[in-house]
Amino acid sequence: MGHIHIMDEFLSNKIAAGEVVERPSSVVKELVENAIDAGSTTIEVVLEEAGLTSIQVIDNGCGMDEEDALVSFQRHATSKINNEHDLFRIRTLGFRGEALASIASVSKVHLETSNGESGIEVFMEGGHIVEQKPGPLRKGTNLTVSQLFFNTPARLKYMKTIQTELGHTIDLMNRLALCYPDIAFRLAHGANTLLKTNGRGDVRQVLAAIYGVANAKKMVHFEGQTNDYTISGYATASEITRASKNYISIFVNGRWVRHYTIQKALIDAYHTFLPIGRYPIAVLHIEGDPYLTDVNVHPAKQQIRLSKEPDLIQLIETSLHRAIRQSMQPPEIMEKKKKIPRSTEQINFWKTVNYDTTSLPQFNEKPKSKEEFFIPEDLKGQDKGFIVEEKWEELKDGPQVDMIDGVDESAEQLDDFNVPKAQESQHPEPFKEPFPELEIVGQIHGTYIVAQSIDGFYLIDQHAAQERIKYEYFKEKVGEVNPDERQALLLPLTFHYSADEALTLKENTKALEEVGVYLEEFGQNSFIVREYPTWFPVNMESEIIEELIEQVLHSRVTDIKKLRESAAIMMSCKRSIKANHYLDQPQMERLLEDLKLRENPFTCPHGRPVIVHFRTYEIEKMFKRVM
Amino acid sequence: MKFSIMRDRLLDGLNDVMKAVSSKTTIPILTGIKIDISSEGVTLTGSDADITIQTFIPVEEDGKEIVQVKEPGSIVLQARMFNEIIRKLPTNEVVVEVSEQLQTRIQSGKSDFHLIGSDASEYPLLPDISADRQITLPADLLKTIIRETVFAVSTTESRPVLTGVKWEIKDNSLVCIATDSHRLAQRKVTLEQLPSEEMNVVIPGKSLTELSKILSDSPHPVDIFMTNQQVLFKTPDVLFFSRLLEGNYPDTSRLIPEESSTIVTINGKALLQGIDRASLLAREDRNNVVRFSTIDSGTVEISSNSPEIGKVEEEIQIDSFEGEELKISFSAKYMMDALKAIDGQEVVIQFTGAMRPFTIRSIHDDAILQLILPVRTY
Repeated sequence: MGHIHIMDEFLSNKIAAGEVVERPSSVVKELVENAIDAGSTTIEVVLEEAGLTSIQVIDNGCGMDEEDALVSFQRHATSKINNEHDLFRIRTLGFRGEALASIASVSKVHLETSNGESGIEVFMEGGHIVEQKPGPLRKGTNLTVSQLFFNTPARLKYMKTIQTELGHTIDLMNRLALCYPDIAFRLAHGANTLLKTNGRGDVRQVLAAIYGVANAKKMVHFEGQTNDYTISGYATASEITRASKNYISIFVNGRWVRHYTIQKALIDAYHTFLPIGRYPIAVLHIEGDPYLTDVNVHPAKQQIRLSKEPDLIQLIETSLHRAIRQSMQPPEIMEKKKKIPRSTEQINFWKTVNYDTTSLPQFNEKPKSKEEFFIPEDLKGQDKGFIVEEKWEELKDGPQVDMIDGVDESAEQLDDFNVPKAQESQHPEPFKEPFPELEIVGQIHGTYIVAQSIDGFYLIDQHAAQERIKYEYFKEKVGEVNPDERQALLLPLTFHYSADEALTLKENTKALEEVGVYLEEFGQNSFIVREYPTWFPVNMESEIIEELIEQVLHSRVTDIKKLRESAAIMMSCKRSIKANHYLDQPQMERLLEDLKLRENPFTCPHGRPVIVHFRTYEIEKMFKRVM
Repeated sequence: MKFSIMRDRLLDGLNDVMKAVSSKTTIPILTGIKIDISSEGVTLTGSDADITIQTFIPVEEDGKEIVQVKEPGSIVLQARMFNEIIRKLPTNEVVVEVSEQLQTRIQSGKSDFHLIGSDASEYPLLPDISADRQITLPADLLKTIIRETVFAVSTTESRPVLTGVKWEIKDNSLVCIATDSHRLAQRKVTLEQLPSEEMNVVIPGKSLTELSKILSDSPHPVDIFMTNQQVLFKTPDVLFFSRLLEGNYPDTSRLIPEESSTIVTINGKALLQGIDRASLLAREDRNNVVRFSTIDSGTVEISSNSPEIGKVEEEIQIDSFEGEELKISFSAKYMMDALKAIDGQEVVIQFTGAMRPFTIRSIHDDAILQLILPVRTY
């Protein structure tokens, strides 16, 4: 008796603070999220010494009256949910009612808030109210957190350098700004403004503020819809890459989350378009019924559980993949200072038109001359109106992404034909990026083909070009295996799995049988394989079977094509002409002819570029013909 | 199209033609062999667009019937596959028959293959070569010329014209020159019958290497026809076409020094073996350098030194010595290539200083000359 007692509130707040308030950026996160939940349209964050000295968050949200302001610092005080039912329909960023209490327990807080009718000012220290008095009547909240961790020296000691802590906060604010383009954010560190967005609701403008105008202009828009989710976002086309995945931001219902599978889907959409170890800059907004998402995983709410995840993943992969493919162009040689001559929207626009009217020979012409160019004189009268109208449609809606059953043919290709697809999909016409009409000039160093078109000249890496051609050929071929030709084994192969994995396997033996691997139960949680399909590479049988089983354990289907894709890449590399190889005119013509027909003629299977474009304008600039 | 043929004779022909077929090409039909059947015999053609080899198998050879033509025609068959099939057929008699849709049936004994061919009309046509610019060389001499020069061609396409051997016909002789800009090999041949005009062509080194594999070691004459784009080597049953390299071959006559300050006569074979031994310690990544120093006018010392591996020194007796003492470093590989081309005879090496190119000639024969640029060492 008497050993167990209920902790007092200040103690439990401090314990909660350990989880919620990890570093200054977590304070900023909680406070700014509160400001967002309060419906603010401008939010200003001012830090001193990266927030260790003080963090001030000023918003113009709904504010609080006297009573609310005092209750808000108590633990489990929230305005955001009322009952259990609400917990599964959370539309606000916060809901746990822990943040403010936790922050207040480890710092000195000065709150100034008003709902426009009454205002209050509260001073707190370590969670205790020190002073309270009526405050100014400006609608909104101005909250200052100073001397963070003043009463938890151990935590304070673990703060990194000011640069590191500031970096965390900037990163956080960038993500919040991307997530809420309609809120004007300002982040200042002392007198330096580190981030400023205009709150006009255009993600692209926020991207420009964060990653620079040039990068933002190169990003392509993508969107899509399933019955449950709507996605939209921006991502860089393959020429702009980063060495880390940090530049990918995923937002689910307005909440920045880390979600491995979604991130992987984004990266997979770039399959063979990105060099190894390079990642895109991408922003993805996912909207869905809050009922389908569970954010109550961790107090920091960075993790999230999603229902109907496979559909969502597929949607992301296909719509982004399509948008990238639509935007694929040979990388251009740019001078650094140079302004991009045409906006991205315009190029997309031409592409869409190009897709509609298949006979367009050029895509970079200026719109006006274009019209003159491709409409035959006799058709002008009747058809012009129609075409112009169509273009107008496209212009209004931006690049349209057609979704047909959420499956496009690229995903289809990756699936082995042996595995019946759950959803039967109609094949949309494959998008053909406008591959320039090229006239071959010659070959240099036995490695690069030089070709010209109206808008400049192109260098084509002959090895990469043929690699791409062969890759697309072999990718088809390698998946076509006959699972019924099997080699029997004198001594069967044995595989051991844990009890849960064994259960999954037992349920899914069908998927393995479809590719010719027959598992027989062999004692508890062990399986034996008595024969294997003959297409398995020699001496690789058990590795291949293990890999197939892994696939089954993770995704419940087997995908031989994916498994053998590296083999396809290797075969395509080995069987292609190398550098230092003379080609005569007919050979080069044939190569370009074949390349033109590829699904993606712009990168090799390793993601390196096949073709580089030098614009006439650039060449003229180099020679100072234009200044 | 239908014919029967003796397998071994067909294989001989295929062997020659296969040398032109490459598995890496941008034009898929070139991975095939074209087979033309006429009442005179069977013509096989293989090509990789650089080289085209055509061989003819007559209906009758040395009084023996080789081919029985039942129905003339043409087909293109996958080269590697067709070659393997013919090689492994069980009996010496092969019947090849092409039905509609390019289905090709190959029968021998009880073995029966069906191959899918390609339309012969898609196969590139042979270049047209007129007979006016022509020289004739015995096969064995042609082979020797190639062996003595072709090793010196450049292997990178950065200066495409240097990947070939220049053949210059002038003043009743043929001069063949190859250089990769570090060394040069030159061979002169006196011609008995001269073509109507002076000629100057650059033949790709790769083509010459393939050609020498086909040529026999007999003194049978080989007719050589040249145009501006193509050269044709014609033996009784093989036509060997090669494209010519475009571009101006650099003037090499000025590169060959006329005077010398040190002249060493030495046994080529002994020197070759000495350098071969010394090069064991000469690292590949440092140009494979060996050092050559004369000692007291009677011997030379060949040495090589790699700090991480060790060093080697070897003295070789020289036959005669004239001029100044000399220490020079050069690539062991270039020197060995040059000495191998001169073929083990006594050689005369003429130096004009440690930083200047030096020449190697045979003591008996002025026709062949090798020039090497030394390596600068500090």
